[in-house]
Amino acid sequence: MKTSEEKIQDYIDGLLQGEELLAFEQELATDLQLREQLNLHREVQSILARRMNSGEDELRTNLHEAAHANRHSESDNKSKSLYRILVPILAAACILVVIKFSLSTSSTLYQLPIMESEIVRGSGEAGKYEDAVIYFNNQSFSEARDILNQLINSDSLNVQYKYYHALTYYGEENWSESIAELETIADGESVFAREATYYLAVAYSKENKNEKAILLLQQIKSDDELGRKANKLLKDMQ
Amino acid sequence: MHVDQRYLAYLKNNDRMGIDKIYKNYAKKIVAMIVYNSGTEDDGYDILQEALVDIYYMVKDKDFQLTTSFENFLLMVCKRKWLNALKKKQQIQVTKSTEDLFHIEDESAKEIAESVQQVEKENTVMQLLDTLGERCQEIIRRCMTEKHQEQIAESLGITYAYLRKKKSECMANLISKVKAHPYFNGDVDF
Repeated sequence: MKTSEEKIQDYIDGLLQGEELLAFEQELATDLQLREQLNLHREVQSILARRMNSGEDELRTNLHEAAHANRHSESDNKSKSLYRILVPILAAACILVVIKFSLSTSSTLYQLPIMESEIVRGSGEAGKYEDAVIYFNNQSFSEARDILNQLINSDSLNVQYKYYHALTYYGEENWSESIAELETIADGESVFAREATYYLAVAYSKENKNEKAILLLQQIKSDDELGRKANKLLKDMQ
Repeated sequence: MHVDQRYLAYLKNNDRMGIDKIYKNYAKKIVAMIVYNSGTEDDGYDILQEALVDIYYMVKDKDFQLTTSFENFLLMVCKRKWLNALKKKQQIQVTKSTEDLFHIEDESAKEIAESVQQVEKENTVMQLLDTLGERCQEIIRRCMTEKHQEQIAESLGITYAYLRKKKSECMANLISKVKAHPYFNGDVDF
């Protein structure tokens, strides 16, 4: 004896025949619940047939690949955008690091300043001064000092002459002489006082008088390039 | 015919280049919408893929005519799918501003909703099929895809009569699950 479900399935599949088919159709005509059950079976079976012969797997393969390609592309674009932002920043950072490094290495901390070319006073003295600049910047300190001596003799109050004069000894690593001359300038109130203090500290450190050097470096406020150099040297010494 | 009808054809024909265009043109917006509504980027791509499969079924055997832009249509389907996903996860509700964003004024919304509803019913049946035992699933799948049931019975090592009986039982089991599901018993307002 077939169950109701078996009859419905056989009916849908066209396997009910003869009296069995007639009996089922008569039952359908009078039984609303059976009709509803049959309709639901048909609907579900139709959905199953539709879905199982659909090509969905092939579609999903293409969707998956397209999604992957799109995400990869988006990711690349984000990376490129990021690179566009980061590369200049990194480049600038590298430049800054290089500049900082070049300004902060031990050798630059002890390096002499460039003697600036400028007319100081009068045409005759200006010519001499320019000669001193050339000698000084070419590290011909003795020649530079000779000229600066002449300039100091003609203008004994000019601190700029005295400053570079002291630095000629510094350039020759004649620390004691440079200390002697720089002390006076460092103690004064001229515009060269801070620079003189710095080079005086360096000279003391070269003479292994670190305590004096540290005290001098601590006087230099770190609000400019000279201050940063002083700080760096201070840290190195401490 | 709407100019965006071509996007439906891309899906219907499983056109890889066309599908690439769909992703290129719309993926970013869909994913952004999902992310904005408490989802992740992965959720966004999952919803988009499922929505495109749904649209494929909407157009596969029908002459489905697009009456709004494909973008609006796709957003509507995705939004609906994401709302359902959120309900399942019992997460927070979608923001009102996003509701407004995807509100479609014209009559096409009703037609689209009906198509989406039908596809969702079909999805439900397929999900319920997956909850049956492996043997039942195999019998139903093979009976739906292969013509000769005698050969199926033989390959399964059972008689044809037993196969018929088992198929009937498995279908009855599936039907009972379908009847009990809110999508079919009227408990869910589409």
